[in-house]
Amino acid sequence: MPPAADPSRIAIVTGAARGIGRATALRLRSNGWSIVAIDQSPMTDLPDDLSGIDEFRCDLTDSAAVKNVVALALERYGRIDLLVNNAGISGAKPVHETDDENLARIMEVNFTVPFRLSREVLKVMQPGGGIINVASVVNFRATPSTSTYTASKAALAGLTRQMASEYGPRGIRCNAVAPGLVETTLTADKLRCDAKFRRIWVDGTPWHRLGRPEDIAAAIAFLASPDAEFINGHTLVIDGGWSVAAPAV
Amino acid sequence: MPDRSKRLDGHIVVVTGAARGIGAQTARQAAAEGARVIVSDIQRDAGEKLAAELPDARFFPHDVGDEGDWNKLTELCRSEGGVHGLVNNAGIYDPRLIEDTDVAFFERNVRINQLGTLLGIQFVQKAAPAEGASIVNLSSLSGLRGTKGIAYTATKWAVRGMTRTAAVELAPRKIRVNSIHPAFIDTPMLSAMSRQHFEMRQKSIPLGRAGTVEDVANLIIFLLCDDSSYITGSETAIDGGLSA
Repeated sequence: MPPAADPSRIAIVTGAARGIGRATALRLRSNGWSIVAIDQSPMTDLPDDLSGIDEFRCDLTDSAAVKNVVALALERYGRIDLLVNNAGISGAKPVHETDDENLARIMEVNFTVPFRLSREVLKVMQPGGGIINVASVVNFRATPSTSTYTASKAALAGLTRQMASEYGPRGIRCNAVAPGLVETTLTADKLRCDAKFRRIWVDGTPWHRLGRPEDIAAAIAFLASPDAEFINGHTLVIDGGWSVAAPAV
Repeated sequence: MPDRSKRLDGHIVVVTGAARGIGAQTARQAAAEGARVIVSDIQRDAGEKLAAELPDARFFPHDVGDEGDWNKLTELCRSEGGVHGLVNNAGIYDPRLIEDTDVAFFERNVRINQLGTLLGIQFVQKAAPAEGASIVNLSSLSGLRGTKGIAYTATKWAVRGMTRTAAVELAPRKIRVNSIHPAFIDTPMLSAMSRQHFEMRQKSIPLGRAGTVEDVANLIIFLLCDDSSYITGSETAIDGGLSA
């Protein structure tokens, strides 16, 4: 049974159905937050007790959805204290193989939607509120084929720093997390079949494992907490040392 | 509130420069989280007084630039089951201009801030138990930018780099190594900066205030405990957004 929710801790988490988003929603809830969990599909492996998790099902690339979601959260809870921009897609290719549709789609989901959500939330957020963006370590160290993905995450990290500088005086903290590669069903398959992938991400990681959604959720929960009140404009890397290591041979 | 509990229960945690400032607050909070703290400092009186206040803590007289002292600490920790956490916090700060920086002064900064950190890393390498350990190195905004005091800047950039090498090399031993980069934390060390200068610079901090020792200790505790178990080789700025 999660603890009684603190009425001044309302968090929007996007991409909350699975992976990092789901782990973050559950971890924040265990820290007393009430969660507006946004995704196109329902949360996988639903916990037995759903109190404190309010699922909003929608496609955030729909032009009205962003405004509607924020308005609905505000109407229902009276406030928004945290926005976690986690929803994101992969599927990038090398630059010369990237068509306009792929370019536009990845930039939209990974950067423009977080920007729009931040815009709507910043209009109504009170002092003490915050935004946490899920960027990526590929912002710090390049990987093959990830052209638009890398660009979109770098854009998000850059936006985070700028927002932190701009909105800090209003008492709003903006930070990002930069996960390395995180275990999902997709990455588990790739690890089994793709030796090059394994060499980059397992052999090439000092900690010799992929990240787990809970690793990222723990860092997000820390940044969201009063313990991190003086941290602003920072991108926290959670990657088992991958981005500071030399490539595995 | 589940944000805090006994996250360092039973762990031996060494905090250098723990007689005052960030070190002292970190020692207090680590003890509150269940750690058996070793309060290390060159200042005996303040260090002993603090250790006496904390449950299950002890004072260790320590010149962090002295190998012999670190060897004694290694023996001590090994005999008690090993060290789980080290906070390389001891340091000096005296922001002299380049033209006022003589060789002896530069070398003193290197000895305490940089060599002290190396010896600390080696200590953990020797004294950590099989389940591993976590090292938090105090760098600074001066390890991200080019602030006044070239000797201090040199050592803080050095600590940042050493952190990364150590993170890669010590990972097989399950030892995590991370640096933190505070700026404008209200501590005795900041008395080296004039109050006027401090108040002027404080205006440029987005969050509009100086940091507290509690702010920094909170981050250090996070990096020492299991919630950060996939975080190594990282550098975390804690400066109200100044370095953004």
